[in-house]
Parts: sequence; structure tokens; C-alpha cells
Amino acid sequence: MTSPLLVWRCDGCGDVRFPRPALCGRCAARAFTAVEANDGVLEQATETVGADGAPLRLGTVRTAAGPVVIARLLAGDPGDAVRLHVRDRAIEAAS
Amino acid sequence: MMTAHELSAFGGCGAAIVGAHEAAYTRHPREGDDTTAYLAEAVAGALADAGLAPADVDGLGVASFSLAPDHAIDLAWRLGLTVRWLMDDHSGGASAVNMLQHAVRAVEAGDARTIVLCAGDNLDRAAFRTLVERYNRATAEHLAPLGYTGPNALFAMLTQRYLDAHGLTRADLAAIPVAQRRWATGNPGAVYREPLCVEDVLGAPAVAPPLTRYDCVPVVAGADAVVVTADPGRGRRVRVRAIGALHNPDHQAGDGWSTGFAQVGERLWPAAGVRPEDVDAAFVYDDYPVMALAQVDELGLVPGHDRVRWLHETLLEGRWPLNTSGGQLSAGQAGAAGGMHGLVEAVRQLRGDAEGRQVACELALVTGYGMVLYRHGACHNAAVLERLG
Repeated sequence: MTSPLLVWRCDGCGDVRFPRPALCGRCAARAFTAVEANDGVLEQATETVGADGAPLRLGTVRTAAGPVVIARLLAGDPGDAVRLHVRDRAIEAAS
Repeated sequence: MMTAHELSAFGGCGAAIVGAHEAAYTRHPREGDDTTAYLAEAVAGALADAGLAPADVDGLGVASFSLAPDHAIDLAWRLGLTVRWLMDDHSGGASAVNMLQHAVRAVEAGDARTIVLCAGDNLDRAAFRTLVERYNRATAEHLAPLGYTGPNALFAMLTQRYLDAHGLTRADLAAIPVAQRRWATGNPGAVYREPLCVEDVLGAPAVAPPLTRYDCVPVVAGADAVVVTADPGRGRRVRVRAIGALHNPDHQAGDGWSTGFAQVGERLWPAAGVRPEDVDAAFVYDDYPVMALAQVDELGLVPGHDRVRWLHETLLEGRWPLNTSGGQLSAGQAGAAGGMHGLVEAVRQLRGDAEGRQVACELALVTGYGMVLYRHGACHNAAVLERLG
């Protein structure tokens, strides 16, 4: 079961951030609206060992909505357009 | 009535660092040596180095990831100290310079006369794992679910961004661990002391490409401490000419290698009354080679931002004194002590106590960097230190 990645748009000035802020540093608003971030561009990727001891590919993804996130990379190489979703609280990206 | 030496009606006085000590770093802590024991060893050593006793101390600052559930006040009690000034700092690698800033101002204001600052950790494998996975809320909520085991992967990607942006190769950047390891051969306290060449760094087991084993700090148990006191006016001591800081400059939205250090430098050098080229040695926070390079560059030590030339000619061939202890990359990172390791080495160099690796050192730069909030560090600070006496 996956769900969309949500990023947060300030209700006061429209600034979009991830994770969700508590106070907008630009306009002092404290209300934010969730915005789906379903697409992005994979900027860097690396391979490491995950907490379970298995290989883990991680990527830096610049979402079309604006914020840059760290995702588990299912497929893709730097420069690729990727789709984003969340599975069990983990952001995943795939080209 | 204020005397000529007093800076405030409360007996404030110019501050000086008069003692420094590092409790030996080890990858194999002895059973029963907890974090408090390492901090106590560092504090005792720094006081002895300063020629002072616990009864002389009236201020304590501590930075540690593993002192919990104890805090600075508990440590004061365990160390037998009664204090007028007390500080817990949780700024990771920036804690030491942050505490130094507050300690110097406290002495100048007359809030305390003799402050001990200490930092250290003994983190076993399980405690280290918990620390990195629950480092802050963002890590617990958005990185740990990925299977994240620590910031190596983040700085691997940051390193790739930096190499791409500045036309550097991995071999160019390898100059940092190679040059620092050369210094470590003269530091009995470093856990890695065997010389390295560029091929050794590039060919070492990958941690997270492009980073290999020698691009990552060895985790050790240990602690560091310094003593900041009202300037005694004699003896070998160190004065802080200027300190600057900047935290969360980019809200985690930037590239991570355009750091807060550029802005810190804009105020630091004028406040210190010296230029970057005047420093004899630099002790920058080297959690990763890329960050060490980013700091020296943004703080003005790389003429014309010609990084390749600086790495090969100045650092490698010229043996310019960068992190003469070997840095954390060779000496080890004892948790929160990482930020104080460079400060202790700077004080030793300035006071002529760096046997085996001593350089002529009258002016030094020390930096702190840390607290990876999500993608890269958020805390940046730097101090310009000078030798007195």
C-alpha cells in the first residue's frame, strides 16, 4: 500500500517545504496545506548497506513541487525523471 | 571601581585558554569506562595542563550524545565542581566552538572566572545505531524508514554534487585524507597512523560511492576538554581574537556545500583583524573530506577558489598544516568530542605542545560544523585563535 508524498505549502505566502514547518520564517503563518509531490528529478544516487544488512540505493530527488527529498531508489540513474510515493513511511522513487 | 584590566563592574576580564587535554581515543573501550569516565579524564587532564584544581573551577560546559539521562549539572556533581555558569550544548560538531563563544563572553562579563568545557562519548554499537536512527525527528520520521544507517550516504551524494560542480576528481579530493594521515603519523593519539596514498583512498572498500573507508571517520570512545579563564597575563596561553556562527542558513533546501561559512567569514576576519592568509594552521571539522575542503575554501584559505591547485600544491606538496592531529579522519570521532578535537589540537600547536608534529604557529583557525537535520549540517561556527606568551 502506497500513499502520495506530501509536501507543505504555507497558507500565508505559498512557500513550499519538506518536512512540515511549525512556523513560516517568511510570513509567520502557522498553517500549512499538504500538496502531493508525485514527480521529481533524481539528482544524485549512491549505494550503501541498509539497516537490515541488505544493499540499499538512496537518491536525492528534487520534487517538481520544489522541496528536495531523500528517497529509497527503486530504479533510475541521476538525471532521470522519477515518480515518488510513500510506502510504510518510506519515500520511494522510481524512473 | 573598575581597574584598567576589568571589562565590567562584575570583574570581567579578557579570556584565555590555558589548558587542553584529550582523553585517549580508542576503538575498544574498556569495560566499565562510561561516557562520564572519559569526560572526567579529559577534564582532569586539562586542569592539570592548566596548573589548576577543581576548586578553581566556577563554570562547566558539556557536549555529549551519550551522557543522558545526565546533564551538565549532573556532570558538575560527578566532577566535584560548584559553578556559577553552566551549559549543555547539543550542536554536534559545532558544540565546542559554540561553548567556547559563550565561555569567553562569560569571562569577559565577569560571570565566571575559570570555565571547563568538555565533550565526549562512549557509544557502543547499539547506542551508535540508536543515535543515528533517532538523531532528530526528521531522521526518525523520514530517513530511518528508508533503512538509513547514518549520514555517510547523504555526504556521498553531497560529495558527488561538489565534484560535479567544481570539476574535481575523486583523486583531487583524496588529497585531504592523504595529507591529514601524513600528520597523523606524528600523533600517538590517532587511531589510524599508517601513511596513505591517493590509490589507497580510492581503492579502499566503498562505504557509499564515491566515499570509501578513508573518507569516513572512525568511531571511537574518548573526550576532549579545554580550560578558559581570566587571562593570567603570563605563561603560554591562547586568546580568541574572534568567533562567528551561522545556523540553518539554507533551511536544508540548498546544495549542502554552499555552507554558512562564507557568511561567517565575512564577519570573522574583520573582527579578528587578520586575513585568511595570515593563519599558520587550520583545524576544520572534517567529518568528510568534502566538508573540510568546502570550509577552507569558503573561509578564504584557497586563493582564487583554485581548489585543485590548493589540494595538490599547497596541501599535498606544500604540507600546509591542515588538521595536524590527522583530523577526525585519522584520529577518530568520539561523538560530540569531534568538534573539540580540532580546538584541542589548535591549542596544543599554539602553545608548543604538539611534539612529533609541531609547526610554527601563532595564529590558527578552528571551525565547527554539525547537526545534520535532514540532508546536511545546519550548524557552522569558526574561531580565530592567537598565541600569547
